[in-house]
Amino acid sequence: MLKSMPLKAGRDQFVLHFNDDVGVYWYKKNLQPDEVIAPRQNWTSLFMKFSPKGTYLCSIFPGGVQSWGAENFERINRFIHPGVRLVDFSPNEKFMVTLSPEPISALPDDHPGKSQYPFGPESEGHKLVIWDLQTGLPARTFALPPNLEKTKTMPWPLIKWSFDDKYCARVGPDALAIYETSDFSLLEKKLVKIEGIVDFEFAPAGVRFATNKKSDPLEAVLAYWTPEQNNQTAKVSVMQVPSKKVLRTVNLNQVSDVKMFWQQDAKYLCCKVDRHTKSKKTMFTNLEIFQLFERDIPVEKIELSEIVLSFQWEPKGHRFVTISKTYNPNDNPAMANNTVSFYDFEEAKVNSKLASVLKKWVAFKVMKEKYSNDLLFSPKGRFIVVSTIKPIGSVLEFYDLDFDGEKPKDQSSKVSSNLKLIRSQEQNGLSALKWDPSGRFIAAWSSAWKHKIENGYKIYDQVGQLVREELVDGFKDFNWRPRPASLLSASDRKKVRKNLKEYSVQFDEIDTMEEDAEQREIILKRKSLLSEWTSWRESVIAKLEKLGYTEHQTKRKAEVIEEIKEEVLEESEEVVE
Amino acid sequence: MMRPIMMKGHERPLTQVKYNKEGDLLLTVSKDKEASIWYSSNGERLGTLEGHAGTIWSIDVDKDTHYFVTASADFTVKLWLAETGECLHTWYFDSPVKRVEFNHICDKVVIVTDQAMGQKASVRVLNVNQKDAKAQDDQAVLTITNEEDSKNKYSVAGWSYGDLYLIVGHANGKVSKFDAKTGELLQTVDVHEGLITDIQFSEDRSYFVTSSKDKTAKLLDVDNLHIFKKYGADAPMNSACITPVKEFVILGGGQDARDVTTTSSSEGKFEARFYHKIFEDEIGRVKGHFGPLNYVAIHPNGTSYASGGEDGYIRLHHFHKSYFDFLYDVEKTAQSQVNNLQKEIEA
Repeated sequence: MLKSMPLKAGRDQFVLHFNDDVGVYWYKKNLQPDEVIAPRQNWTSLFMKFSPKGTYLCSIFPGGVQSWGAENFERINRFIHPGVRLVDFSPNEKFMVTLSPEPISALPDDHPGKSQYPFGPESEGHKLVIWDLQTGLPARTFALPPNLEKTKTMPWPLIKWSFDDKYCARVGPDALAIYETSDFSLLEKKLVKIEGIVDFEFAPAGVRFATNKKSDPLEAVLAYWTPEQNNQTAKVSVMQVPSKKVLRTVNLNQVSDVKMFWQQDAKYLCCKVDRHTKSKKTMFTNLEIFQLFERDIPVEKIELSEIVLSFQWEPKGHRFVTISKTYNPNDNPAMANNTVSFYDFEEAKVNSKLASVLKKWVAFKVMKEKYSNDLLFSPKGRFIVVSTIKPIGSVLEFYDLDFDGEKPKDQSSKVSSNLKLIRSQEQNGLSALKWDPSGRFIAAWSSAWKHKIENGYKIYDQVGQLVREELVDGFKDFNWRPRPASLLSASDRKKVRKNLKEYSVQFDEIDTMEEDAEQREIILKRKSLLSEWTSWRESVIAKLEKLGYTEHQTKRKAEVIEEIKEEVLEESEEVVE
Repeated sequence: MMRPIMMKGHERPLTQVKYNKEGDLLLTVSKDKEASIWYSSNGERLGTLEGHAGTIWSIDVDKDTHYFVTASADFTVKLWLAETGECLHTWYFDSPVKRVEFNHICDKVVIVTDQAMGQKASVRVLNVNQKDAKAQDDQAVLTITNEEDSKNKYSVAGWSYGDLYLIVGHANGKVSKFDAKTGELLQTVDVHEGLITDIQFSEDRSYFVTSSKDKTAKLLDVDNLHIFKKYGADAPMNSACITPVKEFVILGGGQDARDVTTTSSSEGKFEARFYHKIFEDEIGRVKGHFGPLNYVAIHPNGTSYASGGEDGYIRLHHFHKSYFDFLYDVEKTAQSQVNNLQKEIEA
C-alpha cells in the first residue's frame, strides 16, 4: 500500500549521481526524497542513462552496459562491449546503440568466455553495435565510417530511428543507408545515393499528409540536406520511407550549415540555414519552416540578419523560441550580445481559405542584449526556461507564453500568445537543466564534471519557485525517470479534468499528511537526540566530579552561565503568558 | 542580529584569535609577525607583542592573564609578561611551531612543531615556571615524535580535562589521544578525510570539535574518541568552536584563494556558520570577511565571538538577545519540564 502510494500521487523518480555513488529516489517536492535504491558505490563507471520511456536504467562498466529495471531495479541484461563510451536508444525502446573506441576482436575458439561472447568473426574491427534490448543480443554491428575515425567530437547518435522503430538509418559517403529493423537488412537491398549528404533527421512522429485519408497509417518521413557542389545549389529535402520518394525540396545558396528541427508531432520541420555573404565576411540565418500536414508541403521562409545559436519548438505546439546574435568573429563573451526571440504564427482570417493554409510566423517579442544561452520548453508546452549557463552569474528566467493578464503593448496583437517573465532565479554554477516528465518541475544542477562551483541540484516549479535544494560535494548528474505513455483514454482524461477539484483535495490531504508525518519524525528524532545528549552530559559531569576534576574556576564559571540561562528562560515564559 | 566591530590591526592574514579566561581581552596573531591585544568589549587595541621574526601561528594566555605564550614560524616559542608586553623567555626549536596551548593549571604548555627542514613533526610539553618566569627550563619534559610519513604529521593539539590526555589532530584527518604524562599513544581514530585545521574543547574539556579541509567539522568525546556529531559545510573549514550557554558550534573557513574563480566574496563562502550542536542543523551564517576565516573563537561566557580572516580583518560580534532566546521547540519543552520539576521540588 505504502509503496504504491507515491505512484498514485503521480510522483516521479529521479537518479542522483554524486562522487562514485548513484541513488534512485521518489520525488516528494520539498520533503526529503524517499530512497528507492540507497546510494550504491560504483554502480556505473561513467554515467547512468534511462531508456526513452523509462523502462530501463542503464549503467556502464568497463566491459559494456548493464540494464536494470522493474520496481527494484533488478539486473536485466548485460551487453558486452568493452570500452563503451556512448549509448543511445530507439524511440520505442526496442533497440540500443553503443559505441566504443576499441574495435571488437573475435575470440579464439578455445577462449573460456567464448560461449558468453556475443560477437562472431563478422564483427571483427567493428565499433558500433545495435542491440536488441529485450534479448540482450547484438542485432547488427558496424565499422565506424573512415571520416569519423579521427574526429574529436563524435556526432551522436550515429544511427537514427523512425518514429515506430521500423527503420533506422545512417549517413555514409554520398549515400544514406536505411535498414529495416525486422532483420537489419538494407531497404530494398541497396543504399540511397545522395551526393554530398551531410546530415538527416527522422520525423519524431508519423505524418498524415493532406492527401492521406484519416484511416491511412501514419507515414515515416525523414529530412536531409546536401551542400552546394558541382554548380548545384544546396538542398533540403523531405523523403518518405520506405518509398524513398522525395516529397519536397528547397534550394538554398551560400550555405555554411543546416540544422533540422522537427516539431514533436512532425507537423512542422524548421531548417536553420546558416548562410554567409558572398565575401564570406559575415554570417546570418534563414529559417525554412516546412508544414508537413498541409497540401504540397508549403515552406515559410524567415530571413534574419542575425545568426541563430539555439532553436526550440514548443512541444505539441507551433511556437518556437530562438537565441541569436549579430555575427562577429571578435566577439567579447563578457558582453550581453544575445537576442532571445519568441515566435508564434499570426491568426488566419476566418473567411479566407488561403490564409488558413499559409501560416505566417512572426517574432512577437524580441529581447536584446541578453546573456541567455540555453532554452528549455516544458514538455507540456506553454512554459519555457531561458537560462544563462556559465560557472558564475548563471540565471534562470521562467516565461509563460499564455499569461492570463493584460498584454503589454510591445507584443504583436495579431498573435494569441501573451508573454510574461514570471520569475528569475540566480543559481551559481548552473551546468544543466531538465524538466520532470509532467512539466511541473524543473531540476537545475551544477555538475562536478564541469567545475567545482556549488555542486548540487535545485528543483523549481514551473513558475520558478524554489521547491528544494541540496548542495552535494562532487555532485555529477541528475536524471528524471521518463514516464511511459499514459494509459488513460481521452474520455478518461476528460473525466479527470472535470473532477479535478475533488482529486486535488484528496492529493492535498495526502501531501499534508506526509508533511506532518515527516515533521513528526523530525521532532521525535530531535527529542531522542536531546535526551541522549542530556544523559551523556549528566554521566560525564558525574564522572568528572567523582574524579575531582571540577577545577574551582571552571565550576564557578559554569554556575554563573547556568544562571544566565535560567534568567533568559523565565523572560521568555512571561512573554508566552 | 549582531553588531560587528571590525578591527584592522594586522597587515597580513590572521592565524589565530583567542579570548582570555575572563573574556575582557582578545588576543590575535598574524602572518605579520606581531601579536595584538584588544579590549573585547569595544575592539580598542591595548598593545602589541613584538619580537618574532616570522608568522606567529598560535597564541595562548594563562588563566590569570599574567602571561602570553606565542608559537612562530621563526622556530621559537616566546613567553610574554601580560602587564608590560615584555618578552620573558624564548624557546628555540628546529622547525616552525604551529600551535601552543596552556594546560589547566598553567604550569605547562603543549606545542606542535612542523614536519619541515628535515625535522619530524612533534608534540612537546614545556614546563612554564610561573614563580620565576625568567628562569625557564629549555628542555621539553615530553616529546612525541611522528615516526610515520609526513601525511601523518601533527597539525593541532590540546589538553583534555584534568590535563590527563593530549588530543592531537593529524594532517591525514586522524585524531590521537596520548597520555599527557608518559606520552603513551592510547588511541587513534580516523575522523576526517583531510587536514585537521583546528581542535577546540568544551568548557569542561570532556569533548571537543575538530574542523577539517574535508569541509566538515566533527564532535568527539575525550574518553572514547567517539564521533558524536558531524557538521557538513560546502567549503574547507579552518576552525570550529563550541559555544557556552547555547548548544551551538561555530565553523569558519572558505574556499582557498587558489580555488576561487572571482574576487566576489559570495563565491568563496567566507562566512561564519552556526550549527545546532546536538541536532547538526545549520542555523545561520554571518557574512563579512573578504577571504577565508582562519579562526573563530567564542567568549568564555558565550556573549560574543571573534573571527580572524585571511583578509587581515578581525570581526568581533556581540550577540543579541534573540540569539539567546532562540530555542528549538523540543528544547523549550525539555526546559519547561526541568523548570516544572524544580518548582515541584521547591514546593
